[in-house]
Amino acid sequence: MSETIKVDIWSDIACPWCYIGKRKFEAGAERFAAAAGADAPEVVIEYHSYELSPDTPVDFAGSEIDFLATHKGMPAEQVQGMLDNVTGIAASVGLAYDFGSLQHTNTVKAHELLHYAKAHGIQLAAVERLLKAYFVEGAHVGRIEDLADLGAELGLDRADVVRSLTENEYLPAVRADQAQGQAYGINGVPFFVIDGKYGVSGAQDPDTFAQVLQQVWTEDSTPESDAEERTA
Amino acid sequence: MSENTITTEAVVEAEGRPTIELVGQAEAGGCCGGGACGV
Repeated sequence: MSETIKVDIWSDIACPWCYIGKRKFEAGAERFAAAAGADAPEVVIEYHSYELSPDTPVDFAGSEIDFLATHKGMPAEQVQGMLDNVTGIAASVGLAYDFGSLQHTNTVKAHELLHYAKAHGIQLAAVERLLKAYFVEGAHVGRIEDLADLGAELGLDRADVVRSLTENEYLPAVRADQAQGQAYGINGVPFFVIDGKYGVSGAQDPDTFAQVLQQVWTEDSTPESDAEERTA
Repeated sequence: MSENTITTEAVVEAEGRPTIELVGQAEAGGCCGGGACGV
């Protein structure tokens, strides 16, 4: 029986559904663990980089409405309605989105910071911190100095974060994630790959995540000879 | 994956690609290039 289930998550900091999906996945993983009881396997999570809009300038001049209206070719009123809708869904999972203060930016340096944080064993904390900074606090997550401040909050060496981001130390790791995502055929996020076998696209209900974790655990717990007999 | 536990939408399989089975509901919210699609 496997003692761990690996979950690889492709995500972008600038994706409102990724933060919502993070909460829903966490809720699903909790339900799975509660149902599985004391023998529940550890769910090991690794985040991977996905840039929704790599051509966005670091210092985008305009609001989120301006950005989406331009990129999606939709009237501002319609975009406002979309954002109101997603703000309500975010609130339903405990997230206080503030699109009015959000500073749209390029996220490649944020992804580099997430890889730096992973190398220092705190990737999950860094993902949560950056998403909160972007969607809740209206913080800038595109500039090296701002990201270094957030890294220092997480306990990272601020000066070394600046060095790493300036030298593009983890840019190859970002590109490798993107290539792997492309190999999986991922064209939207969040995207969850469970145990390397099952793909879950989007901010699905917690029960969906709980079910697929249970399914993986059941399959991993079943001797191959039994599985072959069942399918014969 | 059992049909009675979760909806199977498609199987991603192509030459040179890792194979994964897509599960869950097709209409779940997500983001794609250019902004918050599916909002």
